[in-house]
Amino acid sequence: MRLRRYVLFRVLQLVPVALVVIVLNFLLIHLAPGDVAILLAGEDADPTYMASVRAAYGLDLPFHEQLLRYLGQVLTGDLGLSYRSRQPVMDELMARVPATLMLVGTALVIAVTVGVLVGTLIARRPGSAVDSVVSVLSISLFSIPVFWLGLMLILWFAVHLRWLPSSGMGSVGGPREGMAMVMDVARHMILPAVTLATVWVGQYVRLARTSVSEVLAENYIVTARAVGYGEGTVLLSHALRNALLPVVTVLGLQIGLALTGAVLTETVFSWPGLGRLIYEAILARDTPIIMGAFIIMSFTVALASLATDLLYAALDPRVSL
Amino acid sequence: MNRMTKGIATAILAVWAGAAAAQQPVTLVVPQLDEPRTLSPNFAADTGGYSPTSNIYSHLVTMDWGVVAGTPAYGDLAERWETSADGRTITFHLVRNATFHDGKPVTAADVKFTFDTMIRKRYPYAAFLRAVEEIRTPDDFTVVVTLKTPDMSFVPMMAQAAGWTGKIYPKHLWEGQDGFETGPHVNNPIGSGPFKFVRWERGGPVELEAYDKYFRGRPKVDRLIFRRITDANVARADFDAERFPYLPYDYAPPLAEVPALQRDRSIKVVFTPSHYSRDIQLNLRRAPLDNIKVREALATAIDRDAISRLGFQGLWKPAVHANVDTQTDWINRDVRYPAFDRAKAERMLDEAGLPRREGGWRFAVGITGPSYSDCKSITEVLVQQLRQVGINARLEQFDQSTWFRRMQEGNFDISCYFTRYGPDPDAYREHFGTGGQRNFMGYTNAEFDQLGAKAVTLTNPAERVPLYKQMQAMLVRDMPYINLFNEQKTSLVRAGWSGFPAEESGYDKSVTWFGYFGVVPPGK
Amino acid sequence: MNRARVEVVVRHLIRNPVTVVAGLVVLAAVVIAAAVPWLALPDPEAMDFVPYSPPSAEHWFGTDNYGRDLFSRILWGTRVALVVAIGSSALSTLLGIVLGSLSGYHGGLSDAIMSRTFDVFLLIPTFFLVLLIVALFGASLGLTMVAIAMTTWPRSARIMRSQVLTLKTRTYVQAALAAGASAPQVLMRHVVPNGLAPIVTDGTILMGLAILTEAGLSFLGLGDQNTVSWGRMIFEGQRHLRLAPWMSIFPGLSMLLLVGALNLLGDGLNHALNPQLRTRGGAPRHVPPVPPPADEPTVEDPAAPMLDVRGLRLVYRIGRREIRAVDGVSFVLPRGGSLGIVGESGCGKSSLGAALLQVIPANAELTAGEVRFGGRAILLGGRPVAERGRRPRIRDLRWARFSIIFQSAMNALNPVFTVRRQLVSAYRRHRPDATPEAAAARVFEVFDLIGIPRQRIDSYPHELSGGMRQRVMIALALLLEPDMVIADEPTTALDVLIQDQILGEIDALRRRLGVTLILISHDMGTVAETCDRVAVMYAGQIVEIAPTATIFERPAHPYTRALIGALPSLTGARRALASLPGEPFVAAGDVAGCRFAPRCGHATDLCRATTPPSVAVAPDHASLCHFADAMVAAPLPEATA
Repeated sequence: MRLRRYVLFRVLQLVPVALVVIVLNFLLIHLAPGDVAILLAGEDADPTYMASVRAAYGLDLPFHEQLLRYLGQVLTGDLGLSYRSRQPVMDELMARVPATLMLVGTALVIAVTVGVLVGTLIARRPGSAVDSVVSVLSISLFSIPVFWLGLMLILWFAVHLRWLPSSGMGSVGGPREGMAMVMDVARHMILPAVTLATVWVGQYVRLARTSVSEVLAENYIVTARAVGYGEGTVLLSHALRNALLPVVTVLGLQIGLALTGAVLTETVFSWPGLGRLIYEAILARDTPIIMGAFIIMSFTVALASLATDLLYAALDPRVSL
Repeated sequence: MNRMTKGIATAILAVWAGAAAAQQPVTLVVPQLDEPRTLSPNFAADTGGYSPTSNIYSHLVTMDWGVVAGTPAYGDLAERWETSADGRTITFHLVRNATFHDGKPVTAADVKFTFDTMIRKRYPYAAFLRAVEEIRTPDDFTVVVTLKTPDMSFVPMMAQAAGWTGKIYPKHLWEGQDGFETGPHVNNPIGSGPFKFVRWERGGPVELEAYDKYFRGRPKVDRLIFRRITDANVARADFDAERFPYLPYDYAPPLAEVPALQRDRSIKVVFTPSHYSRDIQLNLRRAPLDNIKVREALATAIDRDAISRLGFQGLWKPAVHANVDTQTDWINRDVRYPAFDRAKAERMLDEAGLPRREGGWRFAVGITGPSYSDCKSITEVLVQQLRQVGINARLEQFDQSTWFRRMQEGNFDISCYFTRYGPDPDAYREHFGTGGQRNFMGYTNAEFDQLGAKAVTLTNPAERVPLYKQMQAMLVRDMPYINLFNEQKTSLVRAGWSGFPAEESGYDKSVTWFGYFGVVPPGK
Repeated sequence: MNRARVEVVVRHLIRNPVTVVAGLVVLAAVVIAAAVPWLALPDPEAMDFVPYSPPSAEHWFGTDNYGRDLFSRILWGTRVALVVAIGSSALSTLLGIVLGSLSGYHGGLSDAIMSRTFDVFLLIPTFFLVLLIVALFGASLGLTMVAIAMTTWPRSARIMRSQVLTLKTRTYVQAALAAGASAPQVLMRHVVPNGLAPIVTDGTILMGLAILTEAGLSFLGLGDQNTVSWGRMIFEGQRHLRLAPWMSIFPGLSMLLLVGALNLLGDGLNHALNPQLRTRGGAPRHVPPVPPPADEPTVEDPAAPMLDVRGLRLVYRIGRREIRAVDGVSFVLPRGGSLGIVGESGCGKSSLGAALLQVIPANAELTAGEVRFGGRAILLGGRPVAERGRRPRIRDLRWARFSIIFQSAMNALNPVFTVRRQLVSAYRRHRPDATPEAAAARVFEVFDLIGIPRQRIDSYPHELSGGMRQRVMIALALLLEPDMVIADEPTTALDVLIQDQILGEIDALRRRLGVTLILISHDMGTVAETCDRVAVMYAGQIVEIAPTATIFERPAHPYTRALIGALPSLTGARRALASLPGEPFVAAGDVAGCRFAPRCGHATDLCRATTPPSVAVAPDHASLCHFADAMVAAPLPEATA
């Protein structure tokens, strides 16, 4: 019951975020130069036809009416039709979500697992030589431009060694069902997922290292040692759960950055996800897609922060809902 | 198993395998950039729909890449046509054996129904039927079109646009609908083209199969599948992996890779010229571009060979006349743009009263262009060439629609452009006539306008040629634009296959720019 | 930040080689950016050379598809990278400082609205907003910088706001306001400069972020067409990846180098500003054990003292500093005895407790000393004792025979586990055969003994009151019926009534169970009621040890006298150690003279020059004071007012 009220409260907090996002996007797009009507009707269109297109899309209405109209639509879950495909924006976006989710999810799992593992190991010796080396290394990792790393991996593994495909999510005419398809997709995902994970892992190494070593300085760890637990038990069952709390927080805050990485990586590897759709839409000036995608993105980020809070609460009994 | 039975078994297997191979249907997969919005092509532009529908439907008259070899239009459903001496009446005679995929014959009534609907609903193709006064059908296989004024560009333009939005719909299936946007056949098309519609689910490929009773004969490809591949890299990788035999020019590889590709015996690198040029439009409303001396100096400062070498690996042919090479009969070869001479260009600019000032600059210009990669190559090098003669040139890049709007508003200095010269030379009026739809330069020349207006009405080509040559001389003299290159497309074809639209073996056989009727698979 | 602080920070900075190298890289980039027009390089835009030339002596990084020299382009690109980095982070920081300090300074509704705005902006995926802005308004370097600043300012705004919130209550700020300075003046002169340090740190990281963002935009084809940026070079190189990989490799490497250097510099700055970050925590280091002495009895001697400590020494290493927290402590504690260890915080009394159980932090080390438990050595020469090839003896003693009660308010219980889980698993750790039910039964037994309601077993530590939590800690310590318990400040932070209850309980339990006890406290009164003997610690040493009554009646050390003077009065009002001027002494190396001398009212030149010997004023009464005998004799002042 309390949980439900808490969730409701947090969802209500998202409302100003949503409003700001919608209005901001709308303002930007309408302040920008360029005429969407040309794109809709075609460069050769008859002027009367152009006018009818403007009317059909509400492009001839006064500015505030367009905004209100859009707000009303969004509130009823209608993100409009894509100018380019004339399909509902929601459908277009949702069609791309699985690919992005799969890629980002896989990369995050790799990054967090490896990062926490390495970070925990070096946290046992803060200030040591290994700690310093790993620390410099992980800072270097998140200083790599993700798209460049992608290109370099393509260069080496796809062009030079020819081990892995460089682009796409599956082979044309390749298997379309069963295990064979899963393997085909997995092969295509290795390079983009590794690219993203490499750039992200440094952050989690540092985070886990700091957080585990701080927890190891806590008194309850001294208690655990005094009680006679071995160092392994102390680390894994007494320290890690506490140390994971900041990792969870950052994970939630990172969703926005993760999506950024996704756009660039999806572009490099031609991965047919949400990020690439946004990029294509921006180039084609497919306004409803851009606005819809931004609303979805911002909501994803906001919901991720909500999910983080809930997960945090599940991990830390001190946080009461 | 003894040796004999083993031998027999092998033999049987071989025969069976051979038979299977003989019966194995030929499937052709074609990649395309966009997904269709619908499979009803006539009511709106739909880049993803052009390819599938051009193979499902027929047209009255049509045109394919054969245009570059001199065929401005040829008949599809129209077997032949005559133009009256006054140029106002065109009589189309239809083929008698054409049938829709539901078995019903194609008649003049279907043509009239389709055209009337498009005019009434102001669909895009109506723009090409503006000159029409009346369409009559004296019998089932004759269509008579009367024009308001004589117009020699009418049939070629109709043929060109047919590939996009001028398909002939079956009257008996569409009569009940208000237009072409609604009804059971929007996404279940019944046409009279070489391929029948089989299946399409949104997000999936469009699948077609050969129509046995196609009036030109059954196509040699049994199954035709259009698959959406948005990414050039993916398409290229799949072509390399032999997942399809044809990589259309939309996915053109970087020209720098062409030499390596040409060494590969299993690949044909196909260059297709076109009836477009790559050129730069100069905004005549803006100083100092309003000065003819400056425009001449600009033309003198441009080194087309260097642009071709740096931007196109030397594979694009410079265009030095106010026309492109494919328009053989119409080119005025007597007038040409000034040859490259950097020192002379500097002198000309000095003489025009624009000496180098502080910092070495004479004046500044912005250079823009559409987001085509070839225009980007041109402008990138052009900027450097202009800077070398003291013109402070800067790139201004916009997305396609912003660029186009700025062009329409005359808000640019110099822009890369793609001027069209065919299928009928009347195209000059669109680009350079006063108020012409693509005359962004602000060029006005009453004499030019008069010549153009007259030339389009003359039924005898021999009388038209001199007028167009005169117009070209004016363009080189007044220099509202500077022609640079013949446009050229690059496609790849797997050896053994032929007849693709961009190949010469596909000219005048493909039916449209998107038609695969002419494709001949290996061994057929 | 005052000058001394700046010097400390700078010292920390230059001591870290990585930070120095990173700083040099950034400096080199700045120099290159400034000097590049005067270097004898080919024009970065000139298409003068053979396209697609691989790296060679003539073109170090090769040429691109237009035949431009990549080395020259990369050096020119440094300029763009720095302009973007500095421009956008300066703009963003400026915006953040202004809005953040206004919000923090004014507080109230405007703060609420503004900090909500920061939150909302932080939730918007930055890169997409920049992408959208640049895509819509055209690609230019200036716009890119503005867009980056527009989306990153809430970072510094939030930092500044919290800085201002802390700083504005400080006296000097209040004073300035009282003196009639206007709010903006105060902000500019007092508040902003003090909040700058974390913002500068964040700024270097922001610079790296800005470079990566610009590069990302350029890579998506949204870069400024008229500038040579590394991102745009990679974007162009991508199309020629197979033909001319060097077109992508070198700009990416340059970017990695500069962004990496900026991030490392930011990290170094952060550590220099907060030096404790680097070495806190960690797992205890492994010290190879030594075998027990040959002459030791094979079984425990019931007549031997419970604990026999000699010359125990514990050193903390913080950076290059060594702090002797326990500096040669010796005492003997008989079975069933109880010893109180008293001293101010920082005197090393808690370190002593940890050292006895050998549960010392990773940055601490036992450098000397012997500890015998029941006559058997558990520590020799500062190293754990183990029979050949076996685990150290202390590991078998811990908790089963020798446990410790930590001050529970200080997170001595794990906050994420229930009481049941912590107690049951501790019990089963030493009684592996016990079922969870049997373990729980034992827990209830101890709960009943101490007076903890049984239903508390399923609570989390934070759900218990302070007293109850402390009782749970005691229950944990008594769970396995140990012979010896150390109670380390078990009642600090509890209210006086509860303190007395708990102390009473500990005392009663000790007597009932026959447990040997060490009670560590900063309060003489606490130990007075519970312990037979009292040891007073100062600066890592036991300065006086004696039976409880003796120490109160005849203190032989001036520090003890001061502590007694600080006894709480009967009415409960506490007199602070205000009678003791100065800071407690911290032994950082070898010390000459008496450690208490600087604060001692009786100190003489002898005290300042010569280390005092241990003076036995009575058979079981020793004091580290040159004037111990005189002290014993001196009459006590009236202890309470």
